[in-house]
Amino acid sequence: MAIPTVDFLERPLVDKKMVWDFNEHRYVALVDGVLKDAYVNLVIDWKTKENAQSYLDLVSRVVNETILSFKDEKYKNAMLYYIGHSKKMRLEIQKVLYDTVWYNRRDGGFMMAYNSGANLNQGKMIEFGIDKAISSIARQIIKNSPLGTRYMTVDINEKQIFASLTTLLAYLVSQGYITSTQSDVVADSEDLNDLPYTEDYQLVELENDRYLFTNIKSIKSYVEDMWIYDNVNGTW
Amino acid sequence: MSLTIPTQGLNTYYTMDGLNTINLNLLDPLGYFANYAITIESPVFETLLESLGDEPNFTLPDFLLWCPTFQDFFQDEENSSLYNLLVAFLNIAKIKVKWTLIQDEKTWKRLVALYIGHYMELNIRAIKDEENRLSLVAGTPQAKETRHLEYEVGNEVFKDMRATIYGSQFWFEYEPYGRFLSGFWGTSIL
Repeated sequence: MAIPTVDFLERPLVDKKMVWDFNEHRYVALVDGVLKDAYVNLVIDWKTKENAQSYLDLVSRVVNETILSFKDEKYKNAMLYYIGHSKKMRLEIQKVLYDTVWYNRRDGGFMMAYNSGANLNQGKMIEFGIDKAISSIARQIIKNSPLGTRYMTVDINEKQIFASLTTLLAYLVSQGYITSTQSDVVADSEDLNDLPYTEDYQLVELENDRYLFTNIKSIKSYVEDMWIYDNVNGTW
Repeated sequence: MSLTIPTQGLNTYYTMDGLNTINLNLLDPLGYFANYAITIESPVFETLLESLGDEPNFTLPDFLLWCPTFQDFFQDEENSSLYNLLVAFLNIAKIKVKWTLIQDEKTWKRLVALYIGHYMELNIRAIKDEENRLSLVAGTPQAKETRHLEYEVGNEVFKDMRATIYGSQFWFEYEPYGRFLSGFWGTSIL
């Protein structure tokens, strides 16, 4: 995997503070977590726990879309995957969600972003825009983390370094990229150009006869491997 | 002495260098009519390529030494999103910045690092794509004033290198070396 092992989550982590929405691919804060860590009792504000949870779901959507607004659409899938599988990003999202809960209790609030008005005297529309969806502190939290980068510094593609040509070829054969006959040809010639033409991976030779293998179709396989809700059985 | 004298090995050369010379000697009745091979036994020095050896290993720390602003991008080493690009640029840099020409390890490493830094900066600009030029999503339309086309005959390479802070440093250092590679101030090699 390309997300460093210390930071990697096999599946988005669901605990008492946050759950993962598998349909929209985003974390949603839970009422109890907000009470414990953000010191806000939303049940008082929204009368029931269900109401408060629905409100947090909307907050999550606004925060998620605001984060994605820092990026171009072409990097969206990689970013969503990173948010779902990184411990660091989970913590950052949690901070932003809690901050937004505070912000909504003050003068601002994400509902401000939906407000607009027409000044009939001047004939102008007044729109608050996405700037008002989260607080200035939350925006800074995002900018201080990879959430606010336009292009991610961590490569989502699966990568692996091989210490010798033999181990590399053994891996390619075991993964079904090449046949053992093709492997023998390259082992004899010691020339990577003898590998068959492929559009599945990138292979670069590093210093000291090491080889870096990159699966450039990782995102595609992640999407195929994703949990999808089964309507018949009611399972993921 | 002609530079085309026939040689054998590192330390032997022949006094006559072609059929014409032999024929002329045949016509000369008092000539030597002999083709001498002169071998220098000592001192025999190693060739330049042997004394230089292979180019030194260039590693990620070498790059970050001269281009520290990229440090954050390579925190996860090969897992970093730009690592493959770095290796690709390194392979090209080794061809462009010839080790046999620079001959000094520290200078060579600095030049390779600056060369990569220059193109890395340009590529990051392209990847960020803040103007949404390469996006299918509608973005801010470009103002007409920014569409500017200019032709210039002359030192185009220098103009390209001046586009980034690393490029201008590279060219300042490399320009004297580049002159030795071709008769055109190194312009044909970049």
